[in-house]
Amino acid sequence: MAVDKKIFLSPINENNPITTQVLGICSALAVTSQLKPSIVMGLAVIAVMVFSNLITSLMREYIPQKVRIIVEMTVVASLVILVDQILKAYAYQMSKQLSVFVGLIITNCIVLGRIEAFSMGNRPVPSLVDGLGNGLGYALILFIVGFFRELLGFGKILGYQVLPESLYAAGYENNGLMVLAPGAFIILSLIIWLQRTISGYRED
Amino acid sequence: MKPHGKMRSAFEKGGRFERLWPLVDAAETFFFRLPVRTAGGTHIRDAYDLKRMMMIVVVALFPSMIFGTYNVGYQFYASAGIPADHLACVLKGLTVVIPLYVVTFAVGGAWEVLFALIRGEEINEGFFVTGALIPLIMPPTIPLWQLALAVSFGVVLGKELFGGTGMNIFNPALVSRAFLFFAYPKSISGADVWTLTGGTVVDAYTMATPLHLGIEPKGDIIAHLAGNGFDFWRMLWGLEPGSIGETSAIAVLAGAFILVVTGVGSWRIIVSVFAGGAAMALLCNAFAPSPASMLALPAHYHFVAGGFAFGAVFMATDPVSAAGTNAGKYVYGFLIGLLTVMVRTLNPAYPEGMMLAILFMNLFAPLIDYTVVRLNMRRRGRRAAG
Amino acid sequence: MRQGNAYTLIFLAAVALVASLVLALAAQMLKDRQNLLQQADMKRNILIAAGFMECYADADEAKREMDPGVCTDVHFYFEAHMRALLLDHRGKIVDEPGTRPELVDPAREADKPLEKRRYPVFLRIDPVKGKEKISAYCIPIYGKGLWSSLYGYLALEPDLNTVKGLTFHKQGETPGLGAEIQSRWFQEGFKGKTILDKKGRLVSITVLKGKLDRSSPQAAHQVDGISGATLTTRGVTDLLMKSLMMYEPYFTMIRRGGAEHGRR
Repeated sequence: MAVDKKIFLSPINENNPITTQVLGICSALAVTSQLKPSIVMGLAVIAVMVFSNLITSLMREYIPQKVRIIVEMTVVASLVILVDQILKAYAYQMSKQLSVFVGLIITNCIVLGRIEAFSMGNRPVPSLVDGLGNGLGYALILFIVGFFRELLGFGKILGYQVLPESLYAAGYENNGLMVLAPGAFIILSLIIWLQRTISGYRED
Repeated sequence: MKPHGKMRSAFEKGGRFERLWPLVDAAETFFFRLPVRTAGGTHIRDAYDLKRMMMIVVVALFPSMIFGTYNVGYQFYASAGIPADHLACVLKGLTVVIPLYVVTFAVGGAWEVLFALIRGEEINEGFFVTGALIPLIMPPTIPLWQLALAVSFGVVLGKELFGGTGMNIFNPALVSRAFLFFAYPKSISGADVWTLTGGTVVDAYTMATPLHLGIEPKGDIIAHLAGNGFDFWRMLWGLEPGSIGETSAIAVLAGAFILVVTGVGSWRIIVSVFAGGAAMALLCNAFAPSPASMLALPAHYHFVAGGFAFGAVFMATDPVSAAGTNAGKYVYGFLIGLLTVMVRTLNPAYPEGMMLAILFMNLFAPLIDYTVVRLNMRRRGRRAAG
Repeated sequence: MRQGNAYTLIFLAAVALVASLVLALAAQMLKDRQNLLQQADMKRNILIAAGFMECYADADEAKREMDPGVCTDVHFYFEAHMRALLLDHRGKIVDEPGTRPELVDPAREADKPLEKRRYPVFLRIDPVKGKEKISAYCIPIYGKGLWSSLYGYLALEPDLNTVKGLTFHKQGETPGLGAEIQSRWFQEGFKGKTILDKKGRLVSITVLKGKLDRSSPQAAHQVDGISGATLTTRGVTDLLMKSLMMYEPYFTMIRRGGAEHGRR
């Protein structure tokens, strides 16, 4: 079965859930002070989105209209709890660092948004691809923000010192603003600025 | 004769170097008379434009600049315990202030030119005032690379991101300072950065600013300040550690006089900032648990401490980021003064609140104006109906 | 029919049933692993305080020894080298098999009535000439900084006077200022300082506002402050005194030679 490439590619770039639709900002600010939690968070959201899109698409013919949001939330919530439990069992330190924000994937509007907008009306395979594309679009922004915040805020990448000692000896200091949540806002805004300058996208 | 008369056409629209037109335009308006003449009938005109307004602000800043330069040198020699004459103080101060200005204008100017070229707009003089202000609100010990980053941040994110001069929500100079405050707090907070020292500091010299001493007063706060050499008159004159241009309330008031007389700075804002500060200080005094508390600091001390006067006169009055309606200006200024004293007295983590208060109120200025206009419309509507 | 009330109810019940089954199964399967990791995390902090490994916030990940993923290592180390005790407010050892000393949360203990509070102590035991010898006493320290609660451990030498080490494993202070309490230079400053004055009274350790004056008679009880972080460091001073006071009854008993270190 051929799946339109656009379903996968569009949410990564011009229809990016964070930079274009400006959804899911809360977690993008909260967990991105370092790259590692950003990656884990990105992967968690991809997993939740792929499976929730797939499952709801499979059930879409059977879900009664009037309770569909409840059913969708049950699916999403179960998946999120599952992800949280697995993180606790296999990456405790990381789950401690992400704290409530894994649980808050439930409230991430991107997840419910894609279910409502796409998987409730499409076949399972395109839905899965849509979930993957949107999850990746979200994760990609998290990676970029996390990369710059860790590099500028700590001088490290994934915990490894990348800025040389000699730079610090010459008077360089880590940028404290990047460690704070506004640092994420600023990097995010620069990404959005850059993307919209290139694409010429204008808010109506 | 204009040396570039022939070459000029290459830069005009359709020419080979069309993209570089803003550079030619800037040089031309700066050095020569414009080749454009009024074509229609005669008009009565005044040369009062943005350029002139900005020059007046810069002139009004001169007293603070000159005094600040002197004070940097004075504090340097005082902390080392070396007696020095006035000339030595000024010279020492110049070795600090000139590099700060060079870096500020080089970096800020480069960004202005870059954005003008990319956007194909005229290079405007918008950075002139911002650039004159920035070094004056820095501690004399600020590392130049941090200053360069802060200026970049202030110009690019504080102004260009919003569309350039006149479009900014926040005062770009204060955005620069706020950037330093959060990004490199060690360079711009605490007790050690407000005096340039030669390494050794004599015991009799107090490094901390009056506001910093106010965090944990030992005994009566005024006596505590006086014990460290900060009586009201010294703080008024400003021979004390602090940001370069902010210490002297007298020099700031001289600038305020120029701004108000020429009508460039809004007296409504200046007066209401002081009124707001006084109101909050009186309220704090009433609730002060003991004289040994920051809450007990009287209003006139607040006015001469830190950047209160400088912020009220030069930052709050920035016409772009301030409220525009007359009634709005009173509200805007009053709340700035109120918040400043509130931050100073109630949040011990931030000894100074002027920068945060102004930035916060910048954010509310459009809302204040909107409310004033709506209320006015409603009132006039009622009058028309009744 | 698919929009009918009966169908809706049955459908919802089925969805809820499946979801709860899946989650219950997962929780059951992962529970042991989760507990193990949670304990390993706390034990790791205690081992750091006791001087088994170095872990500073400003350290390079590559130079941090011990992979946190290898939890068996931490448990092994902890069992082999540490002995955990639980005290009551009078410094008496209590036997409560149900309470794991490394999981005791000092913030929660502070809310309980005095008699119910439990104070964990972790003894580092090193074999010396075939005999077991206590080489450090670790106590949890907890208190308020400027913006956040600070959690850490303080390790004392067997003389119960000299500081062996200090760590903070949880804080939310201003990056670049208060957060410096997690950096190497700040924590190293505590090593070798003493908490008792010449007469044996508890004076704890004071974080100064500026630099330490080495010639001062108080220098043994003081460390360098963090410039611009007056309130965080004041919090550290306060919480050290407060935490040490809680353990003073127990420490006094040992100093007099009267307390036992029973194995739990």
